[in-house]
Amino acid sequence: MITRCIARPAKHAMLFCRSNSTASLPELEAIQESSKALSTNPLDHPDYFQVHNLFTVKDLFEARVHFGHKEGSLNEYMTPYIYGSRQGHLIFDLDITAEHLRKALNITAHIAYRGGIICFFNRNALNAHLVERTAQECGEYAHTRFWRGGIFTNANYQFGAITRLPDLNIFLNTQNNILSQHTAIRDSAKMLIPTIGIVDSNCMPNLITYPVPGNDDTPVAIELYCKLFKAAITRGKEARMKFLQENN
Amino acid sequence: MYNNRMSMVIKFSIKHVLPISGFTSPIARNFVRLQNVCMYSSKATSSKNNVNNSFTDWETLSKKKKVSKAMKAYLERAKEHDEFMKRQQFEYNIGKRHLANMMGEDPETFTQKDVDRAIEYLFPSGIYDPAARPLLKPPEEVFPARKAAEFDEAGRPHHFLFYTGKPNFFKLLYDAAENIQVLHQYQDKVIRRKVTPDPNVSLDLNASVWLTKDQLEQMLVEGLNDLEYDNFKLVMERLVSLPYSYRYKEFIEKYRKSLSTQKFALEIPKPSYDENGCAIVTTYECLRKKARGDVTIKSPGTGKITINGQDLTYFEDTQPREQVIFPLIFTGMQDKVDVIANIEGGGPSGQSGAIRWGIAWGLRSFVDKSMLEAMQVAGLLTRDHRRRERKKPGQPGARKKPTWKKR
Amino acid sequence: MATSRLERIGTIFSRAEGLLLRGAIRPDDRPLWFDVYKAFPPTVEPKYARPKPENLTIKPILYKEDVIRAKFHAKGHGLNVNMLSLTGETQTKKLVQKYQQLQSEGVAEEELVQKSAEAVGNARQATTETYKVVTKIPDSVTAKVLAEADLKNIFKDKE
Repeated sequence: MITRCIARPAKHAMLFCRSNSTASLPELEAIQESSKALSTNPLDHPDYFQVHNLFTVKDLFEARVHFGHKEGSLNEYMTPYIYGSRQGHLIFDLDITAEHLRKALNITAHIAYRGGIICFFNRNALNAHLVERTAQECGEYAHTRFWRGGIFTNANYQFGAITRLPDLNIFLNTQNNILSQHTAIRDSAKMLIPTIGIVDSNCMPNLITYPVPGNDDTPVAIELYCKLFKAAITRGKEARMKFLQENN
Repeated sequence: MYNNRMSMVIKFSIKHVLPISGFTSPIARNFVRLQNVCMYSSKATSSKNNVNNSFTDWETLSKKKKVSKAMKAYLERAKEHDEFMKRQQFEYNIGKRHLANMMGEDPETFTQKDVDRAIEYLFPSGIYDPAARPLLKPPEEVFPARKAAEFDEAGRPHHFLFYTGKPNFFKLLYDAAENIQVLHQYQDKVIRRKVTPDPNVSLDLNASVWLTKDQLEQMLVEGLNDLEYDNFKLVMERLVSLPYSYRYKEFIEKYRKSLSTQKFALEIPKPSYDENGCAIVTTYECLRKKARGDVTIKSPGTGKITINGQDLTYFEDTQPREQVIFPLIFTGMQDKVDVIANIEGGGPSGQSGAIRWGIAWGLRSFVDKSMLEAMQVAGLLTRDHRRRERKKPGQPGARKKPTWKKR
Repeated sequence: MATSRLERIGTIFSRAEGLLLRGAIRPDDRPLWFDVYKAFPPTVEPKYARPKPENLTIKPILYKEDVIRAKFHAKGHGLNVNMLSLTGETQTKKLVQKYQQLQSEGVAEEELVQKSAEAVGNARQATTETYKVVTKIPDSVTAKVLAEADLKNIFKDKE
């Protein structure tokens, strides 16, 4: 009786319970290490591009990142990232998501800093335009259309010339449709291209190098991811410009 | 020299390697916040052997200017192509001189026009298809131009949709979607202001159609499949259906082709004048079915129609009479011009049709451009090429069959 | 690159490393991401073949107030959601708060649902006349923006 009657959108209920975010608003703390950090290799620094201050767990919550799919569609490999189930709807643990997302943003910034090619993927028509616009704005690449087989695995033939493949693929959703995974994930793994993927509760995270558990359907959530990745890329590229100017 | 091997003309352009970012605020790299980032300190501590430790770090590597493999391959192909084109140009020049000598003309002043004439004379060909006849053309015309390099020195593609394989087509879809979004926002704004839209400003697309698949393919330099072409039409129709689509008139009209204009590229004859100062236009070879004749139009006139020396009563029925005066009434010139027609062969229907076309064809010299387009749309300027279909053996007529009985 | 295309064996890193160790690619030609991966390896190794997570149970998320909500919903109160304005408190939350308030005041258990529903319904009628958005967190940015916003003229353009 109770379970039937409280079948309300989990969203409203969740507002009560989750204010225990570990991350708070970014604080600016000057640390004497700053001069040392500049002189060393960016890779030695745990967070050279300061991506941790791009978002808070609260931002994720407000962007509805915590909503998963229904219990029945759960992929077993996704269970460690699940906080619980509210009336049959899976809810992600946003602390884990935040950790993974920060890692992914850090990687993105580093690849951008090294002048890598970053390609955004998304097969959801609702968000395709947004993703393409993001890619254009940060001077990177996007593929939100039908995936012709062999774009990576047979690139020299497909493009009619020797072609440089992306150095990082970012999947804002990893499914082709609800049943099958995007072929580009498999092809990236084949061609030794690292991948970052937003994996929803019904997705398979195994082949994705840096999976980020989270909602991959809601436009608000995709908007947030796009904003974050764009900011990370911009930071990486700025550092690159500075580096090139100093060394030329 | 005459071969049709595919090769290419390359427009070579290298854009600069450096990415451009629009982000202006300085990075707060001086600030390190250790609480939040402690989880990143889990470094891989694998030092299996010397190989891993002997890496040159990226900073040092990037100081050497490195040209990507893709660019190297491209430059090689470009060089090969340039040499090929040079050789072709040389052979063309020699061929031209030979032809000039054979024709007994000065090789220095021998033009392409002379070359064509000489070939037609020296190598007469009865082959129907012009593409199969012998020819001597400058190599730039024979070998189609090729796409320039699509990436820079570092191998980064220029186009942000490069990896889709059809960047131009998907950019078109992207632009259309972008425009639709902007128009929706604009419409919201207008509604909020409670302004009534101006009914006079609207997009008139009646006189044009969407580019066909072939035309679009040619425009985008990319092959499309049927589904993609359908998607193109769908998204463009959606854009056009919006109430403020006229704001993107330029974008829309780029992908439309007007229905009528190409016909009037044909020369419209200038009328000649007789001793009274009357403008005269004669149209010869007015053909319809088996009728043939010529039609002369005199302007100014009184609307007098002469057919083989008789007036309109030359035709006994009203149908052919209507046919003859229709173009005059359509253009409103029924009492402004005189018509003199000589016609022979065929029956009343064919004769009247031939005269109708002759009058309409001749009237082109006396009407303005908008009327010309109206005549085009009304079908007055279209020749009717239908002829009598022959009778088939085993049946009573061209199509008519004997009555079918089961047994 | 001269790499194996069997993506289910090992990870991209182990395959790239193998090429380097065996000298199939020169150290200077290593992939651009290689150092980054080495410095920041993923939390879980991205192997295709890996054991399934041991703990497959998913705990249900339930709250104490669920019992009260169930009482209201069984009577048909607070079921409609205004999706146009997602700010402010939901009808159900108001009902629950009222319920708890009345309960602490010592109202009889049987009348609680009826009374709080009536109270919230009355308050709702009163607020519709003088509409004012109430936000949960007074210090939040949303609250500030809403306080500054001219709600009556929200549809008029600023220009």
